[in-house]
Amino acid sequence: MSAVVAESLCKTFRVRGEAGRVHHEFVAVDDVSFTVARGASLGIVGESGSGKTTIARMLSGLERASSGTIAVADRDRSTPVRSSGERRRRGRELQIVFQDPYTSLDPRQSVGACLEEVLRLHTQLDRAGRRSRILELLDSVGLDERHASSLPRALSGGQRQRAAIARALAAEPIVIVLDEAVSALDVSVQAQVLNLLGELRARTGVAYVFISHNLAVIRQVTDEALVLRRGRVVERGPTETVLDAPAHEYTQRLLASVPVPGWDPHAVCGRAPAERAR
Amino acid sequence: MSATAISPVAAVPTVRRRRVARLHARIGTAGMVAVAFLAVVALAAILAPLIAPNPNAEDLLNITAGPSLGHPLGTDELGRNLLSRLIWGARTSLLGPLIVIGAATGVAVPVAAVAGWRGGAVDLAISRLLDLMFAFPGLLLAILVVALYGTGLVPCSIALAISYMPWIARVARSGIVRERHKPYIAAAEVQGVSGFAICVRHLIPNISSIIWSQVTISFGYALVDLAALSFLGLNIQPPTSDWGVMVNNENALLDGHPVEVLYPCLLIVLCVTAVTYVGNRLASEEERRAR
Amino acid sequence: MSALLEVDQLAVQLPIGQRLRPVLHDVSFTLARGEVLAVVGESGSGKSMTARAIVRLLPPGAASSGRVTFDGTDVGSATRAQLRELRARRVGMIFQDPRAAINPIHRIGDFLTEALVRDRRMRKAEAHERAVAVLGEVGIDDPGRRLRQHPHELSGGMLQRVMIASVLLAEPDLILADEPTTALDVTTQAEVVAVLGDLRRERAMAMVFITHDLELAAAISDRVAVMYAGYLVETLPAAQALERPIHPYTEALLRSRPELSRRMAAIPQIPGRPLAAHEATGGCPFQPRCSYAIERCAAERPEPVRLGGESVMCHRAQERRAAGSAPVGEGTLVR
Ligand SMILES: Nc1ncnc2c1ncn2[C@@H]1O[C@H](COP(=O)(O)OP(=O)(O)OP(=O)(O)O)[C@@H](O)[C@H]1O
Ligand SMILES: Nc1ncnc2c1ncn2[C@@H]1O[C@H](COP(=O)(O)OP(=O)(O)OP(=O)(O)O)[C@@H](O)[C@H]1O
Ligand SMILES: [Mg+2]
Ligand SMILES: [Mg+2]
Repeated sequence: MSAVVAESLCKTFRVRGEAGRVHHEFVAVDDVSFTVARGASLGIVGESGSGKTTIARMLSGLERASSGTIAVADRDRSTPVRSSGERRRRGRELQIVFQDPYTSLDPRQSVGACLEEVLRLHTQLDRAGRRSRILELLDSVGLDERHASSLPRALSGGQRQRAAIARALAAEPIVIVLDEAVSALDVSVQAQVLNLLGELRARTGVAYVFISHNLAVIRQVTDEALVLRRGRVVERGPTETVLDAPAHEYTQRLLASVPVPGWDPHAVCGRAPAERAR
Repeated sequence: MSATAISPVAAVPTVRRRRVARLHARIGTAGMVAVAFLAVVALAAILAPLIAPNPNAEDLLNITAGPSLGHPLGTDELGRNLLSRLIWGARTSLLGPLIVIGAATGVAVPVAAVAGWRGGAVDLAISRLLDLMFAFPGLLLAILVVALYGTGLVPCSIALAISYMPWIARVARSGIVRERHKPYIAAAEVQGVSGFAICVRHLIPNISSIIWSQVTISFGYALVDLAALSFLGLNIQPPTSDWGVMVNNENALLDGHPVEVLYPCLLIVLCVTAVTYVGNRLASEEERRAR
Repeated sequence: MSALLEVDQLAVQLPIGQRLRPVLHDVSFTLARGEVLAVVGESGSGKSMTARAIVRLLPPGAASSGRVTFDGTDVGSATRAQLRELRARRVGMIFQDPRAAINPIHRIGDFLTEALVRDRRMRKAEAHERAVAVLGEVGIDDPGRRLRQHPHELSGGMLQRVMIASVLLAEPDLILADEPTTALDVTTQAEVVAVLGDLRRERAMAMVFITHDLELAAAISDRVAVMYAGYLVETLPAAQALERPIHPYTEALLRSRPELSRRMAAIPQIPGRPLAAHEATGGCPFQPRCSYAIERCAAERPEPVRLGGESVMCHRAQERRAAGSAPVGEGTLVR
């Protein structure tokens, strides 16, 4: 049984044209298909603007696919929700964590209240049950009771991101989509979060769709990887293969661009120094 | 900032004292003075039947009298107790703007939420409608309503509420549009929280600071507008006491007894200033805390 | 040669809860023309606050002390007009979160050309042309179309590049870049860094570059500054940053990196919890988490000491330097 099946996903946006009124279509995601097995972890890497976030938004229902189908836990979610029951069910199947820890949490809601809201929506637990579940969730992301009553602004970036992960875990989803969820963290907090993600997957069997620009991070948390460019998949395979023996020219270029000691940005992007247009 | 001024209050550990201290920290000493002033005025208005004698009782032996024990602020040209008239006048003068702003906000915020949340064509339609309403001056609308339904507080308040609504709605809508695309809203959507609940629990609370400042500023304007309508003889009718009615007393000026006009004027100015000041302080504090 | 930017004993307090609490302690550094300083460190350690304090863009209610001198003028005593001039022409700021820094209601084109038209009195068409050229330089294709779009229609990385383009358009003498490439793929990152490098060479532009990527920091900068809990705990030449850090925090940070070439069973973490700047007690702020701590570290805060090209805030700096501080990668650090 698979956690996510996406088939021939396409997304076109209408974009304002030159003469004001004229619109034309812009293809952001072009015929992308993938499956993620239960408990598996799929990495998505690719050029900036290649449609990674758009895919994440389509998976989570924030954006409607122009064509193609999405099934999560073998249930189709290509059509908009019809009932509040279905809306909640989709919430229990797939959750999302965003890049920016500073705007991912309601600034006026304490971490505890935020988790409480999710539990009330998705579980039948009573007050005491919710309370203990909140502590359990906080504990699983390395936060404690003290943080339950904190507002987001009282937390560091890493703590906020862990709170966002706790919120995603609260409904015990089958899949979590992480859109550059560790990009804003310093390496030591990033290490905590990555270790946490690995541990959670081993323990609960949750599947990840993990979007990142950091190839070392992709190596650390994913089994398979997709490389995206201009909305199309240019390479796919087991993460090791993609990173160790990249077949597509773009993937090779990507790997060559990773900063290492002695890195020269001009050589990497193939332009002579100072050919700047004036 | 007077950090030392907080400590004597905060030292007493009762819950109410702590609440006062917190309010003090948010609006400052000047803000507390403004709140105290408004509280006194409001309390006086509520308790008017208990503390103030009949504002229309005429003491014909003492007309245009100066301050005395029986008439602390003196009397007007009919020998009516000025203080009493001011206190009773506070009832209508404060109730009016309260109705205006309550009704305007009650309509404006849901309208703005629908526009901002749904976006697209719905937003466009609502925004155009608001634009249309802007074009209609409030006082003119009030005069029209009075012409149709007669004078009085209720028609005037409804007319003003209609004309204040688009101002509040526009500000609220722009706040919601800004907030709408933030990830925490998207996260709630993905959780399966309904659009209604997201608006009520997340969107509207998070733009409360800008709504607050708009509401308090509008309260000041409404107070002045209603007083102006009374002045024009369209709102509260004499002999009912109302600050606006009291200001509209040309006899007082002709008789060379301007205090009875000055007092209500002063009260109007002080109330408007106090409300606006507290509102702005709360709003800017809210903004700072949200960051 | 006199420095372009001199930051001396900069300290900032912010109203947190009911009180003013320190978020930056005595940060000092200098930057010459054409020099690049990379700043790395824990999230919440005050990197962004340092950049903001330089141009006095502090949150309301903030208090600051110390001196910031830019090109001979004291920023602390600058008038409002001088500050505006400084921010508009001389010092460009690339904000960490472009979605928050760019007004969502305006088009990208308006955002980019507004300053040119208003401050530089450029014709609209000319400003538009410049904007198109600069967007092209930072690797955005079809810039003409992008200018007509609203911020929410752009991807995170594109918006970040719009932010960078807006600073490039102003051609400042100093760029304060707050994590300017976090949302970019590595190839685009290389392009953007190359453009910034060209500017540096052509116009002797200086830069403060905040990042979490230690390799990137070492590759593009002359010196790397490491911050922890509001303190600048170490400043060292870039060439040495990845190989021979002296401060135990820097060393621990280097160990926490995931590796590109292999998957680790678990990434080494720094034990304990990061400290907020205002929680720092009398001792060294890193002491509770430091595996090299001695008694003295808890009792007494170390003063920054200069050792050759570097400045380190650690009681054991001399001794660690003499020992050639453990080469990173071999597990001398417990855990
Ligand atoms: N609402 C929208 N309207 C128009 N175009 C859009 C909209 N949302 C996204 N796009 C376009 O779709 C393309 C893909 O955007 P997306 O955000 O998915 O990129 P991404 O791969 O996440 O990039 P990054 O790595 O920079 O975050 C971009 O060209 C973007 O401009
Ligand atoms: N507006 C504010 N009000 C109160 N405290 C703030 C405010 N902005 C930042 N802080 C606090 O100041 C400290 C320094 O924040 P700063 O943004 O400089 O961190 P940073 O090093 O840039 O972290 P990151 O890597 O996560 O961006 C943090 O502890 C933060 O919580
Ligand atoms: Mg993205
Ligand atoms: Mg920062």
